[in-house]
Amino acid sequence: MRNNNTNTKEGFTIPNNYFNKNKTSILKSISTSNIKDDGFTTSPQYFSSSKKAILKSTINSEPISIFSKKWIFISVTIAASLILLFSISNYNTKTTSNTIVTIAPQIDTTSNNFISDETNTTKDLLLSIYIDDSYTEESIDDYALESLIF
Amino acid sequence: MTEEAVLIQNLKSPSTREKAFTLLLDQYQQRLYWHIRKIVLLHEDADDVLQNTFIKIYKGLPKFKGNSTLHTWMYRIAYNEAISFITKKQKRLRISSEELTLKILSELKEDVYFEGDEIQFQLQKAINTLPEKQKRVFQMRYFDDLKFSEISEILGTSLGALKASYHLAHKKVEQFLKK
Repeated sequence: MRNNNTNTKEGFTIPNNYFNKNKTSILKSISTSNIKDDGFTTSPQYFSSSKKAILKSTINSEPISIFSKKWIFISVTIAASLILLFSISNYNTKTTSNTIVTIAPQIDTTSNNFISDETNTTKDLLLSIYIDDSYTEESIDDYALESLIF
Repeated sequence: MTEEAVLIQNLKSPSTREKAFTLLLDQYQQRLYWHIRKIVLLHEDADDVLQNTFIKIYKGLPKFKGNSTLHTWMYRIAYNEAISFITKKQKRLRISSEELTLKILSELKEDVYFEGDEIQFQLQKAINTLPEKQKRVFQMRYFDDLKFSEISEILGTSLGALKASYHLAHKKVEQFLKK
């Protein structure tokens, strides 16, 4: 199939009325497309339609922006809670270790108090048995046990 | 003020740009089309490249400094666009430049927008056997009737090298057609 175009050059031909159509097409693409420096273009209706879509979604449901007051308040509350929790746990750990270090040198096995301490320890042990037994409901004579402790 | 200087001034001014650009299209559309067509050979490809060329020209006009003539500047854009189109096509099809040339030549023979006789087809074949630079110099000089000084500006090559390239290309084409 051959076209019946008369505009030929060394055998090359072009469609009828090609240059007029092409001129219109180029002028149209230049005037209707939003030409940017980097070559990206958008349709002329793009910005108006996207604006409508954004406004619609904004009215129906308010999106939470990371810079909104609501979001900042939530972030600050969570951060404060975490700092507080960390401080408490850190303080308890330090107290326990300090107690061990400071109490240990105070134990004087030669004094009279050492014996009374031992007595107290025995009392505590028996009291704990007493309490445990109350849970297990074993037939231990409560009165006898109390008299043994006190 | 020369006619070209007035046209450039009107092209740079937002109020007269569109009218001046229409005038520019009238003056250069056909010349640039044929320049592109001789490089890409197929009408559909030339059509794409021509559109891109004029959009690039339109965008580049505010930056045009006038270091070369408007005519040469536009030819350079058209040439770069055509070469870039061929390179992209070659990459897309994942074939060598020689394979692409053969493919285009076979497509040209079947193209409804090529009515050349056997000698004209053989001429295209001969040109496409030339090395890249010789090919472009030959096309610009033989088909577009460009001066060596203009070709030198478009390709960024010295005049001496261009003349040597054209001479070699001419000889090779002659030999090819005599076979």
